[in-house]
Amino acid sequence: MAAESRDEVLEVQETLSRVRREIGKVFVGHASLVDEMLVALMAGGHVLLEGVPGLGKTLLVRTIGKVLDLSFARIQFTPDLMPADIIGTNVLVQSAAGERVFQFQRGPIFANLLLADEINRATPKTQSALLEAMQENRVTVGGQTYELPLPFFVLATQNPIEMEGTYPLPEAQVDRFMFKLQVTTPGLDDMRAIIDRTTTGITPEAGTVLSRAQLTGLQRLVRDVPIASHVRDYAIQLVLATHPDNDRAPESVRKYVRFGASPRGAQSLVLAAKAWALMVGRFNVSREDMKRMFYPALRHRILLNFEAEAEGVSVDTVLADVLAAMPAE
Amino acid sequence: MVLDEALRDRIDEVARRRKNAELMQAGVRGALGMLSAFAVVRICIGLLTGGKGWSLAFLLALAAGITYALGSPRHKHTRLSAARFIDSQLGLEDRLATAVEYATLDNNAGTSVERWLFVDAANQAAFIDPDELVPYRVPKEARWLTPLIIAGLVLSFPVFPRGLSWQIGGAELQQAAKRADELFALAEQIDRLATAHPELRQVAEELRQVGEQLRSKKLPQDEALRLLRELEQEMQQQPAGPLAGAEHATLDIAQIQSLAQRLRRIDGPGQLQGWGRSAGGGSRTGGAPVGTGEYDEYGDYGDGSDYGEPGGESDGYGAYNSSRTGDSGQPGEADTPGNQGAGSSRSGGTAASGGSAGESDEDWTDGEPGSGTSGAGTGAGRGSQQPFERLENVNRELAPIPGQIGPDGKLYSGQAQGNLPSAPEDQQHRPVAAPSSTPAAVERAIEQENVPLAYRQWVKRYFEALEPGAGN
Repeated sequence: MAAESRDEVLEVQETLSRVRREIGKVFVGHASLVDEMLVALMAGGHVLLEGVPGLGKTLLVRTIGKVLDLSFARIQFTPDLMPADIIGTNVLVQSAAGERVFQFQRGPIFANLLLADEINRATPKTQSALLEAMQENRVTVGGQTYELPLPFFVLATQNPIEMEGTYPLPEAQVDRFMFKLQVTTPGLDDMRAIIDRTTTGITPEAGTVLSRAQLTGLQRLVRDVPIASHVRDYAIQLVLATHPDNDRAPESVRKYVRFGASPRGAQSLVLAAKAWALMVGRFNVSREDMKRMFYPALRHRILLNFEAEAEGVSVDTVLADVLAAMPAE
Repeated sequence: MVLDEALRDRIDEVARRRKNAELMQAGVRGALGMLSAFAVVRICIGLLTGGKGWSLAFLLALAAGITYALGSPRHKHTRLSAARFIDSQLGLEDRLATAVEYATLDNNAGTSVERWLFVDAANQAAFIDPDELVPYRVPKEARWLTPLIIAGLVLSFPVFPRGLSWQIGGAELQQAAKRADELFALAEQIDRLATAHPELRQVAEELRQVGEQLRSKKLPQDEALRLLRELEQEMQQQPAGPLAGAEHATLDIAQIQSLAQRLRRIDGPGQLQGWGRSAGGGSRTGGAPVGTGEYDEYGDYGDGSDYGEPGGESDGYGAYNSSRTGDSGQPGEADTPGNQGAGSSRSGGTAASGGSAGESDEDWTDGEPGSGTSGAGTGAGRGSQQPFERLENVNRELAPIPGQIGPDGKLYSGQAQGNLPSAPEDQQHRPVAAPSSTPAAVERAIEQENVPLAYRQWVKRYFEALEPGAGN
């Protein structure tokens, strides 16, 4: 490997390692969760974190924002939250000439990193206010379109849908998230570390290790990662196998799935696999990368039917069947 | 982007070896298919033809093997497929396949990541060992090759049982051809006799035609048998012609009849057995009765001999009415009800043909002597295996035994003295050899029968007491 190339690769890997370390100073455990968050950021995708309150979801997002040196904004979603509270609104102001004109007052969405906390506590109307921003990185107010600062990430947290006072996210909204990550209860060692770090007088602080420009460069690199045709086809077959009417769909998919993953799911899967490959120091996408990113990229895009809910079948169970039915030959 | 040369060579070598290995495997499978097919086809054809058809079985098996080899799944071994194979074998996570695929792109400017990829792939070339990745090893299926080859070699030889092929017909055809040859030889001899008897020319010609049709399988075997009988009868009728009675013609007639008997031998028992039972009548050739379909109820045909074969229709006890010495040509009759023989004597009493004594398959008797009213027939036994002994001194050998009532109505109480009253000359029949063979039969009967050991001497003594000359 040429010296120049080796240096570049080593630099990327070193940067990502430092990001992990800094996040680890504040957010204890959940290494896999952190890696997947970084993958989504490198791929330019939005992340939906799901977990019960108190697991550190908000802390993780705040820490990432700080480590990456990104402008950070937080919106606490409540049932009475309006779309204008997120996007912004036109307000009547008096100009220097004494005229009264409407001026756009930017909402908290104009940030690089938006934390939509407990997003499913707002009404679907408010939730949908994020649609255009998440997909096109811009918002339209009063016929005027405003570009969002890049990179733009939405890191949303939500409580499990079964909880009181929650509104399920619209399918179109959910589909715009690249990943849906499950935040689980930390283990014994992690809990000890959490207690030690948060109940003493010393509060750990994460430093900034990755600039906005570096992050943008990483996102470009991710898209340049080569992928062989058979690996790409494998990703497509995986996505298609989540549809109950597909020939290669496993029995559980036929029985429990109402809608399979969309083409956007395939895009997310491939992009995530590319980012993961780069993150582990490889310069091509493999089928193993597809498997690794399969769950977080597709679990929120599969709609189960009533029978699955009645029998307590989870999406991950169905996805496991899909992987088993589609071996990487 | 250009693939590293060393890497490309190794990938190509792997592709070549994979192709060769697949060809070898297809060859082994084809050989297996061929040998298996050969074994099956060879057995089937061999059974049908009595061991023949080796080349046909081989050709069919060869075709099957080639078809199987060509029909076996074939893969296109390209550089890309070889790269994927190496990736899977060495755990390279699609590095080489991706590099090979991107190397084939025309407008590939090459991003930085792609350059890293090609360098990374080139670094893997040192770990690629084509010999280790694709070893030329004998396929697992080859373990069946040795036993199949042995089976093929064994089946290449005519190891098929004659009995089975005989039933199916292979050997039967050979036998028919052999008989046809014999007919041709006989026809030549008849041709030579035809100088004295021109009417025999037609017989010879017909004989040739029968042989020809028999050989070419145009003539059914039963039909051929019938024609042979007709020819035989035609030849037998020669003495009744204008030359009958002439002294100089006696030898010719004997020759003709000898040829007729040889013709009878061609229509021998084995042929009859193979060609099916025939419902022929009891035509005799100088004491050689023709076998009939009913005959097989009580015994097999004896070997055809010049001195006669058992024949005539037997309806129960094998008491054949065979004219042995008479030359009157009158049919003999059996005096036992239900034992009437249907044999008709037409031949004169020549040395060769007259005086035939039927051979018996039982060595101690050759049947009940028939006291024919017109024919001087003596009982000719059933098909025989052993010749019997002719007794010259009838009067001495047939001495009455104690307890027997003689022709004069007297009861013999002691050893007979003197001669028995003689029968008319034309009704004399020779005694059978039963008395002289009795001891051996007794011994054998004692051995064969389930006689308790303690009683054997008693039984033996009883029979010995019955022996002529043993009583008081």
